[in-house]
Amino acid sequence: MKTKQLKLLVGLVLGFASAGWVTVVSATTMPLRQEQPANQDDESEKSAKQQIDEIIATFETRMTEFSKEYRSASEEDRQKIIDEKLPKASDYSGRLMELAKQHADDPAAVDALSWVFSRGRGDEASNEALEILLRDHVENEKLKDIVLMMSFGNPSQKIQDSIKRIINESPHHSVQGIATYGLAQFYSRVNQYQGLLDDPRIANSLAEEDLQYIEDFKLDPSQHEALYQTIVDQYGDVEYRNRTLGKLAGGALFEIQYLSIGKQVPDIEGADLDGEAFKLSDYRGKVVVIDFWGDW
Amino acid sequence: MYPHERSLVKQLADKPFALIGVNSDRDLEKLREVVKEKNITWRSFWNGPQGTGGPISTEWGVSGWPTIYVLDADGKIRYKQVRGAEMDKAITTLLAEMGHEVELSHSSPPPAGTSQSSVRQRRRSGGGSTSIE
Repeated sequence: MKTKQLKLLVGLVLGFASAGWVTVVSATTMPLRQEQPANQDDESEKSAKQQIDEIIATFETRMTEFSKEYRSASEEDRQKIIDEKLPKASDYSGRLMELAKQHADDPAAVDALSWVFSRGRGDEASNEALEILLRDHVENEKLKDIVLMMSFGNPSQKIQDSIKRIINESPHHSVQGIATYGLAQFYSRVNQYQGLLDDPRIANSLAEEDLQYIEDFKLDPSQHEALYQTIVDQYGDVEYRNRTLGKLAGGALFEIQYLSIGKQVPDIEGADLDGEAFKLSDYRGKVVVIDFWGDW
Repeated sequence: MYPHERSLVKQLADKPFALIGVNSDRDLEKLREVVKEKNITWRSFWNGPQGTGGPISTEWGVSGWPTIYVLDADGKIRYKQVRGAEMDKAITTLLAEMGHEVELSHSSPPPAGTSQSSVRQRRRSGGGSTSIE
């Protein structure tokens, strides 16, 4: 059971990591080699946007190189490649934060802050970036790209408050919708964490006040459902990464209502591989394992 | 998965037990070959030519493969995402509730716990693919 819980946690954490990961794939057209973004005084003629874009592109390029190498490496070499080649966001976030502060009114500052927030995964710079985003840019539409990510880290009162603030203060329908979906997902995550607190390794990895927050958290399942229903009704048209919130929240709703443990299973009607029609309910009276599989 | 599932189906042939697949391969002809080759004796729904985007997995919100549900005789969902030894335990527990005491043993031991190594994750709400393990 413990292994399972740990794996779940690792999965959750990796889920957070990979939320930014997808963008790596599209980074191949970015400019190549750019030296480590330390003190680059000669960069002063470049616009803030150019500098920020270049730093981010450098990271993405290194990440692409890393993934390629990692994937083609043997099992034994992988740890070494992670240790040596995996680019660390913290090596880039300092310079980005500097630029964001120097050019606070430049729209590119939001890109820098968003990057530091989403790549930093709860480190100090990431927390500071989030604070500045909420303080100075809560009305910016670009928040829609990061607000869902806010629900992926370790749950805390602060994250809950931040998501709620964006829902209340953003003037953009899309940001409000994605933030509301983020809140619903965040609640699911707190529930998940509550089930994991018995494992000391997980409990010990949380800050004292976050642990307290998770222990005290209570949400009526019907309220949770209602929140997803609100998303379907009010924000169903909003698009997020090629899916609509209607579809995403609708899926979550279906799962809560029909696919939780203890629920009567919905019937499946279809055809088998020979084209013969049959139903899942034909097997009532037996213990049934349903396996969604593919030969790939 | 196949050897474990084959073993389950064989050992429980005379018990009130069924393994039902929902297959998400796009190419039905090729799939039929696979079924013959790998001796997949249990029945599956076919999710249609859209593969993982087909109607059954979409309605069920499936975002990772394999996804497992275990139902009791009344059609109630009792376990989710159990694999290997955990799946065996789920099945024997539910069969015991019906008065069938069964002991399962496999010639090649089932993978312990919930190995994710063969799980193919579909990108969902911005990607859940585990690129590093």
